[in-house]
Amino acid sequence: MSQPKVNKGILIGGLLVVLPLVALLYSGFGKDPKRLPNELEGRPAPQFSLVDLEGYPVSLDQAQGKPVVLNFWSTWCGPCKAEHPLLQDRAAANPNVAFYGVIYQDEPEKVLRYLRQVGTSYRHLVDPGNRMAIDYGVTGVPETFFIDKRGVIAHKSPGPVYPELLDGWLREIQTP
Amino acid sequence: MIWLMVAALAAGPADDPGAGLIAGLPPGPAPSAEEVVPRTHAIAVTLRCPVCQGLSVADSTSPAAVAFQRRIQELVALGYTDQQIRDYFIDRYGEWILLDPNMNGLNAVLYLLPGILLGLGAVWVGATVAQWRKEPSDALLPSEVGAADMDDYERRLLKELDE
Repeated sequence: MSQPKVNKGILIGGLLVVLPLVALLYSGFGKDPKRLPNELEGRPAPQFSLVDLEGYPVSLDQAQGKPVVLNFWSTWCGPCKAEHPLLQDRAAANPNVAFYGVIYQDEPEKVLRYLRQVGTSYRHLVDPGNRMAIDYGVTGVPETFFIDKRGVIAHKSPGPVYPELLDGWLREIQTP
Repeated sequence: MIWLMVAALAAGPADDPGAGLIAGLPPGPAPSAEEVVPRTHAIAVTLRCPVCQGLSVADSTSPAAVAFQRRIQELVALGYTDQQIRDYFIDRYGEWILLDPNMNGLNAVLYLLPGILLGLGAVWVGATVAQWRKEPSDALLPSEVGAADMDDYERRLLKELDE
């Protein structure tokens, strides 16, 4: 029985079409399709120079070698309000970590009213024109950044934080 | 003193603390007020609104898109080039922020594959047509059809046409 004849033109043409597609699909394997792109992990945290709700200036330099937790939030965001007690608790329990809330597309007066009701153990920064949020590549709220002692973004957490995640990253950014 | 001036320049223009995050300095003088709006729009149409479905920053009225537009406008007014401003957004958000991805790496496959397929198709059609022309056809030309192959109807038709 003779071997079937291979048409080399069709074989090469087919490979030219199929191989790039396979490479494209292969590059997507193992990636979480729900994961938001994060360009800033492992890079120095962008500097900021804002004022808090009381009008006092706040900049990243003021952390002076302390790890930093930045939580972008607003009063119109339900999950932000839901995670607030947890952040408040951990901020009080970790005096060696500088916690800052960054107000995202909200009115400072509304935020002040809300914080008077629920209380707060850390400072909240006013970000006019979302400039800081854009510098940090924020796509929505809540988003929480964990910055280590060297000022490098160790992790960005999109969505509300929960105890295991928050405690795990608090440990991580405090390790020497 | 010189070092202080260099440090101030490296940090970007004094009225824009965030501008230190952009690669390089504004290469030229600030554009005129008439140029700022159309250039802002031209950049905004190339960037994806981060909270919308398939809309550009220019097409959305969401607060996030409006904040992007304001930031683009600030940077244009400070004299940064369109590419510097686009690179700033890519640096913060990744290439995802571009509505049309850059043609590099695997993205190139998306750009080149349709062209390659069209080219291969054209070559195949050309080769097939050339093959058809070379091979003699099995079908008979009208002149080769013998009288015996005609049926009665055709014979009558031809006769009537002759008259």
